[in-house]
Amino acid sequence: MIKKRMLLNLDKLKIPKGKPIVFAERCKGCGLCIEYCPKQVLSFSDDYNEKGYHYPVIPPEKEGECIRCGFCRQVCPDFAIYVEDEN
Amino acid sequence: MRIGVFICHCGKNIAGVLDIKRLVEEAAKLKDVAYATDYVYLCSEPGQKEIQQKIKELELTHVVIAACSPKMHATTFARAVEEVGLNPYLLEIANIREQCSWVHHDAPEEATEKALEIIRAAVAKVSLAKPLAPITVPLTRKVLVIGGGIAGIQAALDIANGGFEVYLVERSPSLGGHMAQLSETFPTLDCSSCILTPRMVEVARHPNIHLFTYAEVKNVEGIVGQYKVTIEQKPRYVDPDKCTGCGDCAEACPVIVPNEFDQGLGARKAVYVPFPQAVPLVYTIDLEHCLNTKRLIVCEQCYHACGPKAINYLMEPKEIEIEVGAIVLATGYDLLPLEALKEYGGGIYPDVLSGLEFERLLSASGPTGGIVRRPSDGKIPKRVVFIQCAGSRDPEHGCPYCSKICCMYTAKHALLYKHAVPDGEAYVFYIDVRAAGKRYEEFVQRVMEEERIVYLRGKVSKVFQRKDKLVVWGVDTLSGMAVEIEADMVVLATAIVPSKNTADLAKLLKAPIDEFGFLNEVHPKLRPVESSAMGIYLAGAAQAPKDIPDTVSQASAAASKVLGLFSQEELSLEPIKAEVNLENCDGCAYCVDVCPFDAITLVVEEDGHKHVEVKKALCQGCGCCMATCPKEGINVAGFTLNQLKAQIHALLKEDEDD
Amino acid sequence: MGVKRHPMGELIREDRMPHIFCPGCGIGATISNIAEALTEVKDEIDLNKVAVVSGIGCSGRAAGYFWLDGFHTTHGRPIAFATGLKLSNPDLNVIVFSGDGDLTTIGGNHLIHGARRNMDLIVICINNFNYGMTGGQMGATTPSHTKTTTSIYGNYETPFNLPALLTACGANYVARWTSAHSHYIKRSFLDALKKEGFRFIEVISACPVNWGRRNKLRTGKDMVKFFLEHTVIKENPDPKDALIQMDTPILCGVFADRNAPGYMRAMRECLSSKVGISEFRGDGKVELPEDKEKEKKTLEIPKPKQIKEVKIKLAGLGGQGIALLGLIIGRAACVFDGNEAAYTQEYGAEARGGASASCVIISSEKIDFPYVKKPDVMVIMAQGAFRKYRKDIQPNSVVFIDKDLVKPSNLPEGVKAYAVPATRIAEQVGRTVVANIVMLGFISALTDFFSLEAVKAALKMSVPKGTEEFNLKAFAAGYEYGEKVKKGEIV
Repeated sequence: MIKKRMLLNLDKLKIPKGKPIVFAERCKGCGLCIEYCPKQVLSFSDDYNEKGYHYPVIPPEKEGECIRCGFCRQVCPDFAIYVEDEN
Repeated sequence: MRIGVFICHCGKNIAGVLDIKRLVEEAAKLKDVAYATDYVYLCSEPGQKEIQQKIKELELTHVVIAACSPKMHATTFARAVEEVGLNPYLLEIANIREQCSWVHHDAPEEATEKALEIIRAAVAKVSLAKPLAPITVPLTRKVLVIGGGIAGIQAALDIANGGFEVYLVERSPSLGGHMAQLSETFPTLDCSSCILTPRMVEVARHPNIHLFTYAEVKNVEGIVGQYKVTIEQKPRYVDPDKCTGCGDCAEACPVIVPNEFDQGLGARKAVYVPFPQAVPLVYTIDLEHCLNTKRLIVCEQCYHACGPKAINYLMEPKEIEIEVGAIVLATGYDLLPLEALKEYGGGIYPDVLSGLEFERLLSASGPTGGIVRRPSDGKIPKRVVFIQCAGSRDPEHGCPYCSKICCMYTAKHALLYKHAVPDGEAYVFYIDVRAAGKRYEEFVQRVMEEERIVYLRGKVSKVFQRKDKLVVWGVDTLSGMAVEIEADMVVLATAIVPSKNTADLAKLLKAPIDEFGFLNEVHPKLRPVESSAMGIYLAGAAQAPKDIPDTVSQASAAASKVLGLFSQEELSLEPIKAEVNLENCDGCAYCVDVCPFDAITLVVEEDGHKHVEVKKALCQGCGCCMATCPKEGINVAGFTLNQLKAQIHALLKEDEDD
Repeated sequence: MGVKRHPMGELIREDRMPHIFCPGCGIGATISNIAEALTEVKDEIDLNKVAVVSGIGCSGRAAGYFWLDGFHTTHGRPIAFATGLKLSNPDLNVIVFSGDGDLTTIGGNHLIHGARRNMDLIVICINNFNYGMTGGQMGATTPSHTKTTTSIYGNYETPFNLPALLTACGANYVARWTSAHSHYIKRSFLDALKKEGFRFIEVISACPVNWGRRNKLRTGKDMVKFFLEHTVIKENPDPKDALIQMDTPILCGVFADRNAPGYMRAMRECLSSKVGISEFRGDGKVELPEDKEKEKKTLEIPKPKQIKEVKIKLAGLGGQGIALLGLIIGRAACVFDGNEAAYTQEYGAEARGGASASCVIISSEKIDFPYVKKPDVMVIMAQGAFRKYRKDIQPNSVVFIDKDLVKPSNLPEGVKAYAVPATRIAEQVGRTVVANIVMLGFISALTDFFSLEAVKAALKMSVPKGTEEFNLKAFAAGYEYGEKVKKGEIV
């Protein structure tokens, strides 16, 4: 197998890491955060909140992929999601 | 009218073939010829003095010099006759060497007849010549330097220190070019940045230099002395007046992108400076990789991190118009892409590198801090093979020329590798080692002998992967043996090609380029820094592969040409320009479209009468208009239709009895 | 570690979350952005001095979701209310947050005057192209050819071009973004906070459930995608190009950024030079400069002079001072004699030369009805007035007339008419304008409705400063004439 090149100075760069925090009961299932997350870290939950909406969750394979860009918080109309700094 | 005919022997060049005595006799019999003579070397000082003396003595009104090509000495003779008061445009050169004696050296009799015809035609033409005076055009004494590498920087500094304003336009966000990417320079092993950055800073601070980085030249109109240039300043999305270069934005940016300055071996953020010593030290947002969705939903991390609030996502490209009198092209070089060398694994195996990539690995400010690591797994290679002439001297790869610097930098690379990895092994496959500069040979000898680097004279046929190693198959012609080396890393000294936008710029400026895309100089020996397009000067690797000392010399040479041009306040142009004959011109305007320099316009007078008008400054005297005009309405001064007709009649012996 | 709180939690009524807006609604997004902007500057401005005023509509509920002082007012009137709020408490940062229906359709008039006055307000207009809360009806900003519940075949009206409208009215800052342009809304808002005058930010918002659904953009995601693909941001956009049409990109940007003085500054600058008011106190009170020349007079109200109710009607030409005459009589009886007085006026449409009349009722008892139908006394100073009001002259009443100008005829039975050449005497005194004062003097001599001191004091109070002496001269001349008539020396 032919290997690909790796970037040799990643240890010198500060790469932001984040964790999305969801207020499930506020969510109205509009899906904007899931649509606009650049790393597709969010998906709809299986279960419902009190009003009957699916809310965003992070599937296990996407743990740790969040880059703390803040798009989810910006597009959310419901104050239902924001990102915490994991660094 | 009293025409004087001077026939040159040019030593044996002419006299060895043609019957000079006969030529003198016949010439003297021609109409209006008052005097005919010959001389051994008319171009020599006594020869010129002879011409001058006879003009004064015999009050000659027109002169024909039958000698070598006007390209050789027309200017010399013109100055000579001007000194004694004869208008230089009443002088005609008859080329009886390149067009006669040199090509017919095996048929002297016929050659002499031909020479006679040539002289007769020259006499006929000059008898209709009119005195002309040079045209002066305004000269904007400012210069545009395109390219911010060492060539552009040097040229800009020299011209600015000479007292004139310089506009320096560089395409990337920072000055420095490829020299800024180098670790150390041969043969002294000076740290490249250390010698370059003071100059970069000087350029930025110089009161006479207007620096435009992250900008490109979009359009050029006009001619020497009066160029109108449109520069497009690309938007950085960072306000250069507010940015302090602190780097908080880059720290906060979540996007990782390969860094072009590190040749893709290292990463940068979407908001970046190419390297920490960039001039100007202003961050730039790479909009293509920035997370923003069409700049509408923006990630904002850089905006929030920026203290002086310098980020502005709404910046638009700006067009700036300037007027300059001359342009220096210093657009530099690129390397042949690795993908062109598939037989050496270029572009296929991650550990096959180009020269610039290896340079970045060696550099203390590079992605590995100066530690040589393999791009595949980050391990330090213990055996490196350097392959020279990878693409150069190779018509199959389109670069039959020698790239000049690779032998030296490969030696440098091998030496620096051994210093970095003392227990490593370095092998160099070469064809010839070209080390022609000052102390270059000594450097290569040191590399070969002191550093114990193995130089193998032979080409490599193939590089391929076997397990974790790269296998190099080559030959050592001095011992006649095939060689197989299992290497950890292979460095290809890839060929130098002109940088990718040189061709477009050359087209815009009507500056000729050769078949490889390098800018063409007017004369390879005697005029290496001028383009045949007047007012365009060349400097650096854009003209041909060269090392830093030659680049700096050429840049200073181009600067001195510009300073020479600017020594007068107005520009004098040759008066060989189109002139409209208002009696014959009826405004059919056929000539307007054929003019390659857009120098002719149609004028409609108040009474409806039409005729054309020539912009003398733009006219280059090519004659297309004259050839096209069906009404003899336009003539090129010094080459009028009547003069040309007279020449033809003379050649065909038709006006003997007129 | 405690419960996690949203970064804007401090500025939001978290107890009212989830809010009533539909999934994907642009109002929620805009509230989020404004809250974020305020969070950014919460150390620089006093959030206790920020007030949010909303009108009626979905957008109008915004005031209730901010943890800031606010007011939820009637449909179309937030700008009017906010104007009053700002004037009474200039220290407040007043933000009007409401919808297009509320601010530009029903509230259009307040909008243009607020902008014209450059009233110091920030107005965030959520433009979702319809009246959302009431069911999606078309409004002044519904784009042409789009469908709403009251334009089911497509809207054949042209909507407002709000940036052009506001710029033309003179607002200091006019910007338009869409609810997807979070970064720019925040920046615009923060820029606006630093300015004064009328700052208008139009936010084109997603309304998927009412407008979007009827125009092929069913979900919030569809509408945000539409905004991203069909908007163009320019650095200095021309308001003339800002009309929204569905087949051209929506033009966004800052259309106007001017620095004309805001309302409070303009008012302060004008009044401080004329009236000496240089500072407005934060509690709304105004301090007057001390006037040392003014003596504080204490008015002793004498024991009320007992009189039976007298109804007086005065009539003449506009400009004769009929209204002033009635006023002085009323003041004399009330302010200085301590009795009750009621005073009304009638005007013709002309500024000069039309009929003018006033009525005064003076009595020691409380007055029930302020208008005089059957006057006991009439004062008539012009023939035209006589013609108009002769039908009001009651039998056995008293009539005072200007001798030269009024020629009474056919007076009812028992009417006593007293004539004085008021205009001529006024001319002799110096100016015809005091004819009414001459008449006043005349009346004072012949009646006892008010005391002489009272009427003189009322006169001094009611005429322009500096003319008291002149008017008293005219009064005296009329009084003298009246005395002569009383004594029978003149008829």
